[in-house]
This record gives sequence, structure tokens and C-alpha cells, in this order.
Amino acid sequence: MSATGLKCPACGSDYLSGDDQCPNCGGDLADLDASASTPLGTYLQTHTLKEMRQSKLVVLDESDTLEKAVKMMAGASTGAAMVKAADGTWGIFSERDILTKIDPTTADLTQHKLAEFVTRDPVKLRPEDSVAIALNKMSIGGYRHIPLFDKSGPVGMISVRDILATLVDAMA
Amino acid sequence: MGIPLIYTPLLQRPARQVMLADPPSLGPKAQVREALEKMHQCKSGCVITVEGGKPVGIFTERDVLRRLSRGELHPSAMLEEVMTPNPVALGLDTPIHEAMRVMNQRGIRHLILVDSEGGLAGVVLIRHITEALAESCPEAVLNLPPRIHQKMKQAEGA
Repeated sequence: MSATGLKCPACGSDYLSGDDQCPNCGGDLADLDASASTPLGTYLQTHTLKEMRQSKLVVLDESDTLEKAVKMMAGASTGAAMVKAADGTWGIFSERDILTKIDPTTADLTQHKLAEFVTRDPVKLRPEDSVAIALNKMSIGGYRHIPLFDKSGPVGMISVRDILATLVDAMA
Repeated sequence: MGIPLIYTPLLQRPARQVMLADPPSLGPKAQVREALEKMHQCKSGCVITVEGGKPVGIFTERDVLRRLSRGELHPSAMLEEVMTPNPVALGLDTPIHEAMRVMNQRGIRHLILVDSEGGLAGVVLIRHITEALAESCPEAVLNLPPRIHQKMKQAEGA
């Protein structure tokens, strides 16, 4: 298809004027003009995650102890860390896992490995994805953190508070 | 910059419409152990310390993380020793966009709402804000195709 200058907001593919659905991903294009009329909607669709404030990216290994994770995360003031498994795949560990999976007042943090706590294959986005996509994942999945990946691996972490900070600034 | 809010009426609703009413709360003499049990049970990231019906403190999972990292999470400590005293609290009719602004300014994920007598009425969670934002522009946020990264080399079909 030749370039039309019209890009699907979801996948970035070209579409033809008059298409109701994106020919690549099937995304709904019929309402695009309507959404363009709300400034917040337009902002969310046209700004990318790499423009947002980001959290510190903490990268750990599944064989690391819970003690190390807690210290690194508290030190970075972030509630989530990326955890690499021995097979090279990635998982995510969050502060909520501490509350739900152990009794933190009695557990010996040095005796627990992250492998017990990690959530494997979390939702990942790319730095060039739109803020709208991140909000979609966060509101539907209930996530507070989404790792940003490029081909080399994790390159960032974005939290719901990071998005909030950017939006509040933009609304001021 | 300067996104005009007049186009987003859903963010101008009073925060009481999205808050969690009757949030997990305990007295100031309750123990950390009880607070953690309550958070676990209610799947909540915070417990609000209440005295005479009024919020006097808040204890959140971030406090748990910080204290744990310093080895200072003692199960028998009293909530009043570990809580953040005098938590930020706003009125029930605060608009959602104002709640957003305050949560961002104070760096908090839980915002207490009080009634006209200052009694604990509810808490606005940051996920209520995410949901309100998503609902206020469904075309942009909610109506996305299921697999946005799917890219085909050629259009499918004949």
C-alpha cells in the first residue's frame, strides 16, 4: 500500500481515507475523527512513553534474594523490578508481591529467592508506544508498572504515577 | 501544552463518585501485624489509622517496603509508631482532576476523603484515576485492538 499519511493510532500502519478498520491490526478507525475532538484523547494518542517521566529501572536476577530486591527497590524509590530468569526470559517483581506472598514481619528475606515471587512474561511496551496504549493496559489489567523493552531487553519502567505526573503538567 | 479540561467532563465529577467507600482502617494502637493482615485480606495497599472516626494517619505498602529494607518492620509495633501522621485529606466533592493534581504534587497513591465533619469517608486510589482517565477518552484508550503490536507484512486475504 502506498503511503497515505494516515497512520493507525494503534499500530502505526498506513490506512486509506475512508477505511473503517485498520487493514493491518483491525483497529477501529471509524471514530478517529470523534476522538480527535477531545484534547486529552489527542494528547494520549500523540505522545509516546519515552516522552514521559520514567521510574528508575531496577534489574535483578531470579537467583537474587528478596533482601537484595527490597533494598534496591527502596533505594530507587520504585515499586517494581525486572527479573531475569536463567533461561533469559523476563519477569516482574512488585512490592505488592511482598504483601501477598509472604508474611514480611517473620520471613527471613535472605532465605527467599526472587524466583518464588516473580510474575513471568509481564505486559511489555516499547518506548515509542503511545501513552494511550499504556493507560489501556494499566486500566484494563490493573497494572501499576509497565516495563519498556526494545530488542536488547528492558530499557525503562513506567509507573502510573509517572503518567499522572506528565498529564498533570500537561493540564496545568 | 495546557490540555483544556472542559472537554473532559468525567474528570470534573466529584471524587466521591469513584472513591472506595469504607476503606480498611484500624485504631492507632493496633499492631503492624494486624495492619498487614488487613491489607492482605482487603487486597489493599494501605490501612488508614482512625481515631474517633477521623483519619489521623496512613500506613501503605511503600512504608512496608522502606521499613523492610532497613529491617524495621516489627510485627508488634503500634500503627501510630509507623504510620505517616496527618495524612492529606480532601472533601468529598473535590473534582477528580483536583484529586489527580494533589496526588501528583504530594507523590501519593492513596488520597483520603473526609465528610463535612472531618470523618473518614473513603479513599481515592490511583487506579480510580487511571480508570477515570481511560473512561474520559474511550476512543483513544479503551477501543484499541486486542493485539496492537501485530504487524503483518501484507494485508491478509485475497
